[in-house]
Amino acid sequence: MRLADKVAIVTGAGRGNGRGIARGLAREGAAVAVADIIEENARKVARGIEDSGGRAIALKVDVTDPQSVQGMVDATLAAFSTITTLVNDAGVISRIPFFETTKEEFQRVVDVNLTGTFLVAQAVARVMVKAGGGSIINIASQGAERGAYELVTYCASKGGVKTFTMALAVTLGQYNIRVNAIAPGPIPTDMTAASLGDPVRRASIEAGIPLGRLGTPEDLAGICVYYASDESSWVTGSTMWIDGGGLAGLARAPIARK
Amino acid sequence: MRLKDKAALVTGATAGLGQSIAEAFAREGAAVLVTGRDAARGEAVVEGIRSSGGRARFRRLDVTAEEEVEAAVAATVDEWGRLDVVVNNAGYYGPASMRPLAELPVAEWDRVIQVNLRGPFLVCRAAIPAMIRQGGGAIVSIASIRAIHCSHNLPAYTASKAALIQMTKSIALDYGAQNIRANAILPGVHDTPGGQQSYTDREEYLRRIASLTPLGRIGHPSGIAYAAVFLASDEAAYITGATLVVDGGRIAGEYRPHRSGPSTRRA
Ligand SMILES: NC(=O)c1ccc[n+]([C@@H]2O[C@H](COP(=O)([O-])OP(=O)(O)OC[C@H]3O[C@@H](n4cnc5c(N)ncnc54)[C@H](O)[C@@H]3O)[C@@H](O)[C@H]2O)c1
Ligand SMILES: NC(=O)c1ccc[n+]([C@@H]2O[C@H](COP(=O)([O-])OP(=O)(O)OC[C@H]3O[C@@H](n4cnc5c(N)ncnc54)[C@H](O)[C@@H]3O)[C@@H](O)[C@H]2O)c1
Repeated sequence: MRLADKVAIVTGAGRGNGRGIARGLAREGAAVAVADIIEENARKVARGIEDSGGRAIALKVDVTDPQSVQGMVDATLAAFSTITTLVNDAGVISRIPFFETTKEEFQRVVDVNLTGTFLVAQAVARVMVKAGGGSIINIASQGAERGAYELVTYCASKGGVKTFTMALAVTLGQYNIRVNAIAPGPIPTDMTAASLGDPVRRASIEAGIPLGRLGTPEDLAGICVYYASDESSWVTGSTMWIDGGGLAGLARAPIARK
Repeated sequence: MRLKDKAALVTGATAGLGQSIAEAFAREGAAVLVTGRDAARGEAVVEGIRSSGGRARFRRLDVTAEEEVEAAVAATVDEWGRLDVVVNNAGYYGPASMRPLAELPVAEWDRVIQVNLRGPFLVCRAAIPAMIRQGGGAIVSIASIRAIHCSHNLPAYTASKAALIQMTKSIALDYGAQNIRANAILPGVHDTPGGQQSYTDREEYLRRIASLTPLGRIGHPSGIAYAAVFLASDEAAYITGATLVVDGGRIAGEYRPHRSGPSTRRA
């Protein structure tokens, strides 16, 4: 097992991508603090990990609240004595069109996706400095690398996550703390139910993916295990695309050729 | 074992990063065709792999020679019945090519492009049909951080590595439907025989690299080997057309602690 000596916090781990990542880290031996604003979901995921022989605790956290974040860090330390790995997965999307987006709506998304990532990274990095290092993995998005129609607020927050990752990597390298991001393509979860739930839309999105299928939360586990493990001990500041080739270019000929 | 039952071909595998990749692949269960131009070194790499219980063979391969490339691909399929992974590692940035563009001899430009771009083209061109026949495969190309973050006196090298990335993406788009994945690793400065050509005082060189690198040390070839294992393995099944930077944080941003002092001292 590649993460036998690791202790990870995964935020947003109550469902969707965070759940897939938490399970993946636990499978490789990491002890996992499954943290989510929906406590019941976190409990179910932690129980599932324990039932398959892994180590996990469930924690309620609101990543936008510094006190709540500190509580999560303290509870993880109380349970597992250290924190070696952080996955900032908690996130929200806004589907309100640009001209109807209020300042409050914009801030709601930035608060969770960007400010939340900052708050958790800062609180956990303080522990990692004392522990002599660690690995922080931020879940960005394809929307950190290119725009998406009527997802202005979301893309802005995820673009912020990407450059936050790079700047933090440069800043925390001296403490042997590595900071990397992943940029997933569309994955069917609660967040995307509104868009991918429409079969016509889903088929059109799938046709634009070179590997011909949408991603799954399990697809994200491998790269997170890699970033969490010492195999990537010289990797920091990177953003890994994990999108079936979506960002690489046009999957289909834009104009039918003879 | 993460590459169990897979057969792999690694170019330029007789030393440096390529050797490390070949050894890691064999440890993870792959059968490896170790290729390169130096038979004595190649046989030694194979001997090392076999003595630790791995499967490997050496075959002479200059990636600029079209027939040799095709024969090497055929030899892998003959030997192990398949070809699952190709690593385009052979590369050239020789001292003679390290100068500004107007001073670069045309023959040097041609040489760099031949090895770094035309070589991987030939290898992929020969390997892809074999991969399609067996239902898929993975291509891992070793580019460089210099493909996206330029440096002085490297016009041919940076151009060749940038082109290699775009060729990799092109393969990802064109062969995704056949379940062939293609990705690139962008190494930063690693301690290899190739890198050692660029200094005389080793201690001073290592100090200088460390001072420029957020993680404070030069790269070890094993880091590239682990990255290649990951991208070649089924754990990366949904990753294609992507790049993985392995550089200690060098190109993530400006790193000047010697100028501004560590800003986060009060952690
Ligand atoms: N699904 C996709 O297509 C996709 C693509 C790229 C990136 N992502 C990113 O992946 C991450 C997970 O998304 P998902 O698709 O699994 O969505 P999801 O809605 O299923 O999961 C998000 C989780 O975060 C939790 N959360 C929300 N606000 C929180 C807060 N303030 N504090 C703590 N937890 C909070 C939610 O309760 C939920 O469990 C997000 O960062 C998202 O932006 C998703
Ligand atoms: N070492 C580094 O710091 C570094 C950094 C970025 C990228 N890279 C890339 O990583 C790869 C490996 O580099 P390295 O430093 O281990 O080795 P290197 O520079 O010593 O040379 C790479 C290998 O390719 C072989 N080679 C050269 N021309 C060839 C040809 N025509 N046919 C077959 N083999 C040939 C060489 O013999 C050598 O074994 C290269 O593509 C290089 O550009 C290396």
